[in-house]
Amino acid sequence: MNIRNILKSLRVTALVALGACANVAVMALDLGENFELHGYGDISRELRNVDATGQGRNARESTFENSWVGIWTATDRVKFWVQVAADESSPVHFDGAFLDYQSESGLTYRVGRVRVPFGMHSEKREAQALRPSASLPFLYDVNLNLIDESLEGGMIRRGFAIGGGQAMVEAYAARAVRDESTRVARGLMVGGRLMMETPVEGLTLGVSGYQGELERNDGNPQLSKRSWALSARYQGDRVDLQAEYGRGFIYTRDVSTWYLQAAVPLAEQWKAVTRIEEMVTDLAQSNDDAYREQRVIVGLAYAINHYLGLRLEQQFHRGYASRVVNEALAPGDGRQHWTSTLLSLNYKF
Amino acid sequence: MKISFSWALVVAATLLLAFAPAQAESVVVIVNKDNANVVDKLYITRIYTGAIRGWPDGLPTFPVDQMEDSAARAAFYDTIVGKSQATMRAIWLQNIFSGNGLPPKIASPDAAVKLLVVNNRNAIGYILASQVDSTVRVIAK
Repeated sequence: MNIRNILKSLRVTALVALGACANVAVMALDLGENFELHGYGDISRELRNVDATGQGRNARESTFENSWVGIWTATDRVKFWVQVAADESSPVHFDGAFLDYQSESGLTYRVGRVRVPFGMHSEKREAQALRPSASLPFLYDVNLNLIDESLEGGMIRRGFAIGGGQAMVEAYAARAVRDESTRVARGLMVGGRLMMETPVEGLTLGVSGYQGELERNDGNPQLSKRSWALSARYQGDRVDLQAEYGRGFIYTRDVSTWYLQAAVPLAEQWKAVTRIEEMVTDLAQSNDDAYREQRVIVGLAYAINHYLGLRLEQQFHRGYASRVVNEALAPGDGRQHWTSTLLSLNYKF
Repeated sequence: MKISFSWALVVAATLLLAFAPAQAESVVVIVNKDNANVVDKLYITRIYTGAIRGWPDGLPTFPVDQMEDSAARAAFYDTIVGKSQATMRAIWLQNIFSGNGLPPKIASPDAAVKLLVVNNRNAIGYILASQVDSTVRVIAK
C-alpha cells in the first residue's frame, strides 16, 4: 500500500468518523420512518518482524475497512438489508443484500446474499469496534478458508425456548460466493448453526458447520469442503471469556484452529484483552513452522466515546503459517519466533 | 448557646431529607389488553436484546423503547433488564451488523408508549408505574 492510498484511507475513515461524532444524539443516521443507516470501520497500522530473509524485517502495513448497512422496514414482518463496503484491496463494492420475512409460526425466511453463519463472529468479523482486540482470531481468517465470504441462497431461522434457555437455529442451502481471484469459484453448500443462551446467565454455547461441493475455475469439479466449529462465550460484569474450536477439510488439506480469549474492563473506557490461539493449515505437516502457528496477544481497548475507539495490540508468534496461507511468505522464508504490533482507530454508528 | 431539642430535631430531619438519595420511580412493563401471553422478566429481557422476536403464541413482538434520557428508560434497563445502556447499544449494533434485527422503535413520553401499546396487539413497552391505567395490561414490575 503506498502513501497515497494510506492518506486516502485516512481521509475516508476520518470523514465517516466525524460524521458519526456529529450525530451524537442518535445511534443511526435518521433517514425517515422506515429506513436506517448504520456503519463501522477501522484504519489499522501493523509493524511486524517475520521475514527470515531480512528483506521484510520491520515491515509496515496499513489496512482500512469501511462498511455501511442500510435497512428498510417494509412491514412488521418484512425487512430488506443491503450492505456496501470498501477496503484497501477493493473500492466501494456491494457486499450483500437480503430480504427477511418473519412468518406467523415464528420462522424467519431469508433470501439473498448473506454472510456465512459460522462460529460466533463470521457475519460481523470486520466490525472491530464491537470487539476488544484489534485482530480477529485465526478462525475468522478468510485465508484459512474455514469461513467463506458470503452465500447466495436461502436460509431459515427460528428461536425457541429450551431447558430454561433460549436457542436460535439456522439452516441454509446456497452457493458460495468467492473473490474471482481465488481458485475456487462457486458451488452448492448446505449448513447450519445452533446458538444457545443457557440458563446460566451470560453463558452462550454454539455449534456450526457446512458441507459443499465446489467447482474450480480450472474445470476440476467437485472439490469437497467441510467445516465445523464449536463456540462458547461467557459474558459477565467482570470478564468476557470466549473459546472456539474450528476444524475443516478444505479441498485437499485438513486444517484446525482454536483460541481462548479473555477481556477484562479496567475502567469505564478501558479494557484489557489477551488471547492464545493456534492454527494448523495442514495437519499432515503440523511439525513445520510454515504450516503451524501459535499466537499470544495482549492488548488494550479504549473507547473515546460511543462512536470512536482505539486498539493497541502486541502479538507474539511462533511459526508463520498465517503468512504462508495468505501467500505473503513462502515456506522456509519465515522466522520461527516473531512479533507484531497493531494500532488502530475504529468507529461505529 | 443552648439549642432546644425540637430545633435540633428539625435541623436533623431537614438534613436527612436534603441528602437522602432520591427514590427513582418504578417502571412497569405493559402490553395490549388483548395479548394474553404470560412471560417472565427473562423473556422480556430477551425481547429487548433481540434474542426473541416472537410471543409464545407465535405472533411477532413489537417492542417500544423510550428516549435515552428518559427516567423510565433508565429505570427499565436498571431494574428489569439489568444491563447498562452502553451494553444495550453494543448488543444492538451487533444485531444490526450481523443482520439479526433492529432495535425497538422509540416513543416518548409514557403517553405515546401507552398509545402504541393500546393500538398494537403485539406491542410491548414500559412506562412509569404512576402512568398506568386500565387501557393496558401490566405483565411485569
